[in-house]
Amino acid sequence: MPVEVSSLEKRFGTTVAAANVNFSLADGQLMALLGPSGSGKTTVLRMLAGLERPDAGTIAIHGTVVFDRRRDTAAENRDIGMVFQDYALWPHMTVAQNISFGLRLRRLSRQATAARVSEMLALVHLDGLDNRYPDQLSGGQQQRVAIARALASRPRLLLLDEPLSNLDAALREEMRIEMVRLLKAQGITTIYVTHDRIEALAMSDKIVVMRDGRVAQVGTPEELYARPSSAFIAGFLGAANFVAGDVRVGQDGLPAVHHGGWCLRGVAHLQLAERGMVLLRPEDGALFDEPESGEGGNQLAGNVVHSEYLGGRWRHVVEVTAEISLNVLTAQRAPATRVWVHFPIDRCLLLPETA
Amino acid sequence: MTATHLDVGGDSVLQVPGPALEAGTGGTSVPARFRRRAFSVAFAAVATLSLLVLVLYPLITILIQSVFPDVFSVPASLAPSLGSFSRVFSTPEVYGSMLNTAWLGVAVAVLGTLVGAVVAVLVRNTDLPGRRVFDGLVWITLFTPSYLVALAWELLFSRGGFIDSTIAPLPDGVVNTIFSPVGLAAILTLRLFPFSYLAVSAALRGLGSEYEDAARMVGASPLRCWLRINGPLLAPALFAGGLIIFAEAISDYGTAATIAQQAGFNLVTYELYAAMNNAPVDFALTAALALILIVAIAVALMFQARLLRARSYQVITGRTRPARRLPLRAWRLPLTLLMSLFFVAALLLPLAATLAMSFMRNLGDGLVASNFTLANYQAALDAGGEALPAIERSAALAVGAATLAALLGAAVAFVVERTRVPGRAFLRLLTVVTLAIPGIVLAVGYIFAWNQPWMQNVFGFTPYGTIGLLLVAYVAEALPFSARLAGGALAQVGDHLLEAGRMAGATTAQLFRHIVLPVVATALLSTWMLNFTGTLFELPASELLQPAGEPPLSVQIINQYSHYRQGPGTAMTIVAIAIVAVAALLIAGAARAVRARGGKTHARRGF
Repeated sequence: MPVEVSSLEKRFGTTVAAANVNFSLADGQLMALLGPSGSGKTTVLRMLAGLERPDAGTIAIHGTVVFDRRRDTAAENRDIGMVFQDYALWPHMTVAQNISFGLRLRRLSRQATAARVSEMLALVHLDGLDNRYPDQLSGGQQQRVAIARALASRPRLLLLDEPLSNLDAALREEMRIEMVRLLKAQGITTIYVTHDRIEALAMSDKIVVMRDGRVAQVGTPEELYARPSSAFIAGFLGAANFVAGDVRVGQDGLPAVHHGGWCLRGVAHLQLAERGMVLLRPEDGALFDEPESGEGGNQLAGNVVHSEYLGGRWRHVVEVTAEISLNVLTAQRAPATRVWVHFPIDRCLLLPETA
Repeated sequence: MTATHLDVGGDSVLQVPGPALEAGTGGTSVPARFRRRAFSVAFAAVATLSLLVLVLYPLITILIQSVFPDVFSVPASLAPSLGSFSRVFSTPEVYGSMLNTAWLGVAVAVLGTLVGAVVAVLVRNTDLPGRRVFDGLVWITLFTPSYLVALAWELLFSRGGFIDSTIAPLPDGVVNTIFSPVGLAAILTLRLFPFSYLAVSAALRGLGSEYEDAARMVGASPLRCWLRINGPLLAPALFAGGLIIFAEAISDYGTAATIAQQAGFNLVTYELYAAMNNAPVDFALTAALALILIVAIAVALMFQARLLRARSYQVITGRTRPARRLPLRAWRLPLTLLMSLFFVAALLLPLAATLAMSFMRNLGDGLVASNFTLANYQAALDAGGEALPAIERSAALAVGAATLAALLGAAVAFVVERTRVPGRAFLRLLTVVTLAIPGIVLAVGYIFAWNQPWMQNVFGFTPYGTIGLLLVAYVAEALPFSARLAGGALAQVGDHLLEAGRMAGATTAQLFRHIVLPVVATALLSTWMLNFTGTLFELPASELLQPAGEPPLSVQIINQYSHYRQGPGTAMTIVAIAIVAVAALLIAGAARAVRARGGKTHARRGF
């Protein structure tokens, strides 16, 4: 495995930045470290880089242990490329000097260095900007120089720390697509820190979700979205409605959450206790002006208290009880003020209750 | 003033764009708008006039005097001549003082830059214990008058001084080194290194650790990171700090008049004083020499400003990860000791020597019980003596000058930052330029400007030689600095803050009272405190402009020392330091009160 991290621990004073962090990564894979701010994802990345010293644990890169109880390879000797959140392009060096700095340190000949710089500039579509200084570049160009600099010395692993967060929305999407194509074409193993679920879902082969310094769940984007291990994951990866209640198994063998007279059935992939919650995704909901007959799904009646047009679709807030207020996305306007919200049972997920 | 070039971080303090106060007049009645406009114009007039009369006019007379040698004579002549400049270079004494000053300036700039940079890196980027204490000590050093330190060193290191009489006889070599250009450079280095410290500290804060991290990720060792990344990125700050130190070193009069004289090392600032005091007075030559000094300072500061603006060095990232503190490990203890020792030499030792001397009969008799006396304080506080009147005189002058300068400075800053009065750019330039004028040069200009024969006929008296003119000179010295600090404080009162206040229904007067004043008051109070301290101990203008028979404190202290009456001299110094300490406590209390009241008002009014 190109990257193997086990039992990684890090404390800052009394704050736990990372506790029992484990994951591994296959060759050429792109992995996202996803989590809200303060979840420890950047700390884990910096420990991989060698910029932060773990309190305990093991880090191995391509079979070489770079950190354990006895070893701590310095950052400069780990052969890892890194793109920083603010790019950290050296302001006193030109684009070419920025890219070639690491190559010259590796005692590459002048010609070979120049050739590699041109190659990298072509790769990130910045040909001809060799002699510009960083402050003469746009945000998107700076970001591409940072990638070129990180890839120039052919590292075994590339780390990216929220590289898109400093770009505006339109450019962010464009650079996201371009970056994935570039990284896949280079075939480089990449770990990518982000707090943006869309970025993580769209770019990665694998996602490690972090929360409070711990790994909350590891999986492919589809796995995490379809089978979240907790309400936190489900809510973090997409818009979600939760209804909590007592869990009972019905006559059809499907478990259901009972809440205030409503019975909401669904599928469960986790062990359920007496209490549980059902996850209802807004996009799975449909609105009707009368109850649907038949066994097709879960139904709840409520009042549409708010509707807003999002361009191509509508978002409604349906108040079922004082405690249950549902977000529903539909293609049409609400048929009435008093509506029935319908969710297909196979799209409803039952999860253990969390606070 | 002791510290004039405080803008080590470039002129960002001054560059606060934003609409003027007048911009928010929509909806107010015409008379109110008219009143506000009249208010602004009156403000601008006072600010401009004060800068023109107090600062620009004396400087222009220096320029005029240097090229029209007989313009102020009776009878006056407008015959131009550059003879004064050629005399500067052909008079060996004057020319020699220029060479000495240049040598000293460069030596102190190099030493001070290195010392300041090392202290900054240790305090900002390592786990050195007591970092905050050291940081505070640097600031105290910055505002300590150089002549007091120099005089204290005389107590310590002269033949028959403290060390000689109490610890062990000093070898000739040591005494000769202290009272030589080398010792002079050492004292000035200890005095001026804070400028480099501040410049490098600001740069280190902006630098963060990401550039270094990025270099390590492409394989650079920590040493190489410093050589190739941090070093070049800090270089402009180092040079900028060095240039300020150079400008301050060649401006300094306190050491030139004390330890430099002991060392027989003539400097330009002292030459200016001597030229005005020794007959026959060559006004034109003095003016030419002053002009050369101004140009030298201006060139240094222009390069400094350009360095700070150089685009290729601009640090572009907004959010920087604070630099990791370097663990000193085994070096922790020795470096802490070294730093402590350094501040002992720079501050504690001079203060201790001054304090000890103030309780001694005779310096040569050393620290023995029989040498103890309170007579020095009795002399210093004797209503019938010479010391107490001098202390009272200077304290009164310092209160007056500090208040006037703080208010005028605030007016100038207000006009520059918050109005659209035409000519405010010129006003801004004037405050920047005059920051760099040494006290001795301003005093020379004051003699030229306010000692002219026609004034007797027009005013009925000659301003030169009056206590009033001394006060005005003190105000002029403190004004540019005060305007600078007030400008920085005003910049904190963002336009949105005022607009929000206006939207909540506040009138201009209410805006000023409830929003501007609470924010600016703290800065005004600290400006007052710095002005007060600077003026209380001010030396060059005091020497040149003192009224006959009414010497200010600083002159009196120096006189006591030069007549080997160090006991009374040090007692006066200690009394003055005590006054400063009491004033500082009062001001700190006032600042707390203003903050507390401001906060309460905000809460109640819901601003």
